[in-house]
Amino acid sequence: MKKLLLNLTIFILFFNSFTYAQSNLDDDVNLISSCVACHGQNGISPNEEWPNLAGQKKQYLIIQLNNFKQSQRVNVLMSPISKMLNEKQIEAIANYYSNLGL
Amino acid sequence: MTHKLRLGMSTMLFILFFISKSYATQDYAVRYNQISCTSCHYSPVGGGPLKRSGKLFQTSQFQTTPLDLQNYISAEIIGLAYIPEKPKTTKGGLGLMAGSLAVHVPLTERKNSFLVIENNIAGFGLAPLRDTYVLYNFYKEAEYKWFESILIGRFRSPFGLVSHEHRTYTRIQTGTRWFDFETGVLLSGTPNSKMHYDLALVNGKNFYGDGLKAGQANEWGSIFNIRIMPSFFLLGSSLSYYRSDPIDVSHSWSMYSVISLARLNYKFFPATLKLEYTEAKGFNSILNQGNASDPNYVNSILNARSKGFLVRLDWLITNKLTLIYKYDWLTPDSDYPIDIYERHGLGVRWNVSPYTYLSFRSEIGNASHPSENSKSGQLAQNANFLILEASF
Repeated sequence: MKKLLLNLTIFILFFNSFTYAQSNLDDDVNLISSCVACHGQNGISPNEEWPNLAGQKKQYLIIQLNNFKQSQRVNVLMSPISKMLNEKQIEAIANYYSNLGL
Repeated sequence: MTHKLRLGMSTMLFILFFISKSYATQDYAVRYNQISCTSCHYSPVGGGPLKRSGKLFQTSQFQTTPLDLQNYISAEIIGLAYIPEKPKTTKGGLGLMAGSLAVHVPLTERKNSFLVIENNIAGFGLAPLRDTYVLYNFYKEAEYKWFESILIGRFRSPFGLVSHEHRTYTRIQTGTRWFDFETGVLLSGTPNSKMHYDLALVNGKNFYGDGLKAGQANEWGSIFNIRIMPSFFLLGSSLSYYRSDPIDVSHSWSMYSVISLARLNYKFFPATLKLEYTEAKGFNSILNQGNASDPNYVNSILNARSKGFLVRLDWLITNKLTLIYKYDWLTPDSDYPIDIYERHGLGVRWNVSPYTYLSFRSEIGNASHPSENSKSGQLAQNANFLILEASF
């Protein structure tokens, strides 16, 4: 049991340090992978209830993501997702979708 | 059909399915930072009927259909083709695990309380009455509160890693299989975006919810579950305690983790790793429900303390196909750690259509106790199975 806990701790520590190394790469694929499930790879949502993001204004996206993050706007799925994003990541996402053509 | 032919067919099916996704509740929860199961499900325990947001998310890889937009009816079919190593002496073949119909309606105009009734009308006999409860949410969705909801009725046990899979050892070992439901009261809370707990006061174990029984009134149980999600991983622990009468006390605990490597680095390794360690006492009789080979062996360890371990890796090959590796290990009597059951399983799960998943898995089973090693029981045998899940 002690061995198991030790191995688990080493595993978590290893991958935690890996996160920081990777986040510096500012890789759009990793960031956008959380968005595409609902908003589509090309920023066009497959359903009527979720918005298209392709071509949306960058500043608008930044404001809305920050509103979700600060609980000024509430959505059952978006609120928790926005809380895992930092300022730089929010800007990268807004940049990605605002640059997609319709 | 010869064993070679069967093996050949299984291999072909495996290759065929290798072209196409997977779905797993905890995978999504950690990847998308959803500490509360109520983001997608009515029940705070997870599993069971989906809310509209859950239905939309489930089908997000496909175009929306009218089924996504209604919020009153759900249905589920789970069909199984099970081919054990010794098909002539062990049960196997085609079966319908679940053919369930669920109705869920808001009881108030504010839509903060719901009535949910789910009945397995056409599936395995051990699972007739499923999620059936009144749920009252104290606050609006996505608000974080210590007292989030209270649920009264019949619900899945908030214990360990909730799974649809009925033959996971950690679930068998703790009496929390996919068809084991509890009847009682469940209080849940999500004080912040990184922590969730469930506390249940329930009827005694082995209660199928199909009526009142003599001697049942003095039986009771309690389950506590807590999980935290500080980052790309989730850590949780559950405790259960059941008291049927002064000489029949059962208890178990679980420690589990879900690590989303996809959230960590989707491009590098889009996978989820699940780990669970459990200890239990008083549940070994479940091994005699068609699992073990020798009832005499099981009867000799009925009151023993058991230990179990689960490792599962779900690797997204494409957004519709997942490769699954699963390792299960169980020591039914911790005083005799040499007597174990273990299984290695490798397979795939394919998201065929908005509401349909097809899984294939091949498992190698092993039991070390001499009377179990005869391979007449299900746990000791190698097996192939194909599962069709269709739900909306």
